[in-house]
Amino acid sequence: MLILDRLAYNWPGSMTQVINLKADLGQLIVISGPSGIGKSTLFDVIAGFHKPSSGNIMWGDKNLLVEPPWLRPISVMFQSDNFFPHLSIRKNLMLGVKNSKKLIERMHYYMNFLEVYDLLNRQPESLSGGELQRVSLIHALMREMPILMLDEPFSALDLDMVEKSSQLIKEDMQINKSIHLIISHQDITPFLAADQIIELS
Amino acid sequence: MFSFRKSTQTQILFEHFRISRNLGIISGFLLAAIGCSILLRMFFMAGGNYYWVEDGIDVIFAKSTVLIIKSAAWQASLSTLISLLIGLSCARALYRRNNHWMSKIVLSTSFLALVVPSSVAALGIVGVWGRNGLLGTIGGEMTSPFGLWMVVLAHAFFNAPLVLRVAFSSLQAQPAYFWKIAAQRHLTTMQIFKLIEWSAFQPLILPLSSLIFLLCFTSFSIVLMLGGGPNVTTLEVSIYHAVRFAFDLPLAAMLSILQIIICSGLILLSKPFTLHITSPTANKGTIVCRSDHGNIIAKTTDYIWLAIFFILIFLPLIALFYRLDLTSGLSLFNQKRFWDAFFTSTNLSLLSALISVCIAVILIHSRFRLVQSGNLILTRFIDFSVSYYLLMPAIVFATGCFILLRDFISLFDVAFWLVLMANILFSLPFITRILAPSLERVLAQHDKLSLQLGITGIRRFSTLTLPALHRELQLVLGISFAFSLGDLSVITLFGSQNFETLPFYLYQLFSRYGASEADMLGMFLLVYIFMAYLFFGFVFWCFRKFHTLDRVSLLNAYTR
Repeated sequence: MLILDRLAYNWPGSMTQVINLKADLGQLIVISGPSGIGKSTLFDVIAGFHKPSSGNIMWGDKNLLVEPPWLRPISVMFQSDNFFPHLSIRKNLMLGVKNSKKLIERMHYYMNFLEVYDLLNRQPESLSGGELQRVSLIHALMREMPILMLDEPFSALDLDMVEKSSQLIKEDMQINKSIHLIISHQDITPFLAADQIIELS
Repeated sequence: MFSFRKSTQTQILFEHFRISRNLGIISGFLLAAIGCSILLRMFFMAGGNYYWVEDGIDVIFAKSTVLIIKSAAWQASLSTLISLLIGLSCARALYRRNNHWMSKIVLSTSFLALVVPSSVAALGIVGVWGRNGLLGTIGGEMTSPFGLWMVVLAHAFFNAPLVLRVAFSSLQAQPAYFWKIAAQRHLTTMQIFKLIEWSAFQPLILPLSSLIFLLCFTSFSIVLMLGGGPNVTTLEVSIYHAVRFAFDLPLAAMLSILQIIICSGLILLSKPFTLHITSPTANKGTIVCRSDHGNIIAKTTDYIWLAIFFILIFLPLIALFYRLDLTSGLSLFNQKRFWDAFFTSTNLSLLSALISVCIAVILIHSRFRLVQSGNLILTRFIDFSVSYYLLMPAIVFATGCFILLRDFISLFDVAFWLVLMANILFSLPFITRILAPSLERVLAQHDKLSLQLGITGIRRFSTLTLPALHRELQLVLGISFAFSLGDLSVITLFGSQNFETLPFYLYQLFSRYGASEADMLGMFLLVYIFMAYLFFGFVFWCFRKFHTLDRVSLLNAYTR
């Protein structure tokens, strides 16, 4: 279980946000709120890139705040800038994951399913916003972490692709029982049923 | 820089700035005339005594000349390699340690190393690596107070801090999300190096290598003081020996022309490798977490590199204080020669700093107006008249002056003015490059408003432009002052018992093994340069205080 216990954070020129959350395995939590309210900063805090002012992040009986980002059981899809611009998509996807046959098969399955297989040898800068978003989602899923945080995963996708991406997320929740935290400005209820909705204000 | 696009608006503005434009063009013509007449005279001197094609080529391809070029190239290559290795490794270590105070200390020390006069640095290097130096005993027979390694160490003393500062800025400017991805994917030290650090360093390597190679290849004072013989030399030192000791002026002229050709070639070759110094603001407010920060091997190598930096850069500065023998060293201040040199150096440096900054301001003003009017030819001419002195090493300039003027005047009578002129001309390329971006920005910002308010000419410059540029002016005055105060190039040809500057006197003491007095003088020079920076800072602080009040009253007068 993931617990955000009175997790307080702020950033220059902002009020302090305080978050409480209890998420069980396989749950989907949607985080919404107006722009500039600190949704992406919340992800940075959970992932270890921004220091909270108080509170705890518990994963089982472990306090994640004492762990560095690379030891937290979290995979993040950032809103943008998910890839090194000087590496091909294939190299970017294989970075930081175990190079096994099973994983490569999964990567090919995801790439085919989201219709981006042909982009494997391209550079990130040559991809459109929608293509980048699909590849970023694949990378987040490939890491097989118990907690997935997806920052605006559908903002550049058409309805057909939103549906397909949602299907992959549902599969991951069912098979790996991972917790998904999603920031979205869009109404995603037709595609994904949220177990909890956190409205930041 | 501004593009060459003529518009009606800039044409109208341009009409108001004829005087500043013309002053700059006249200054540009004067600079070009001095440079070209010296070059022409050297051509005639070389051509008058040699049959150009045969003897000229004989001199260039003579065994001794080839040996000089080989020796200079080998020394410059070694210096470049070592400076890059130490600078880049230290920048990487410093960034990985991510310690605010450590970074501050190392970066401040590296700035100090950039402003230390070469003669003082040479003294510090001998103080560490010389036979009786702090670490001289470690190397035993390996180290000698003079020779290739001393020259290489001295060049690394100046250039490794430059590499470190540029590389550190480049690492800081890497996008914050690179570090986020690296942390998220738990990249190894090798992967971080390949993907992030190397991509920060790669664009710097060629421009920095070509710059350092050029500086070391044309090095004069360091090689003169630490070279220790004909095995370690440069063309500049050979020109100096040809004039001062052999009095073979045609040979000096021919070597000077060769030096200019090589310098021009090297500058042309390095032209595509422009150094883009990135602003280190990208990561502000983001925690840069590195998975290899706590790794014991990474930690050990980082501290080893920082220790090497400390020994190479910091220890020579410490050695100056450590070796100081107050009892015999203080006798320096009882010598009339010291005080004469002190006043000569102060006068030279003050005059040179003020005049060169004035000329730079005039040239930048003029260039800005010429760009506004779309006059490409005159703009390029002004650029050429300043950059010309980058192609011509100082000792070549001095040799040219010597050859050009010796038939007309007694050179030793006008030595002060010749050294002053050289200091002004050789500091101009650097000053204009530092000052130009800020001054052009301020001019563009103030143009319309100042014309509307009727604030023009000197009044505009003193009330609007100068206060907006106080930081840059403090920097260029400080740099120019330090440059003149520490210069040991032109003075070596024109210096005599009656005309000495502090670095020249230091060189004399150094050559005579007057160790304690030389140490005292070296430390005095270092403190003096530091005080000069503080002084210029204080002057501009007072000026800014005064003008803030003045500008408030000025604005009040207009709003009323």
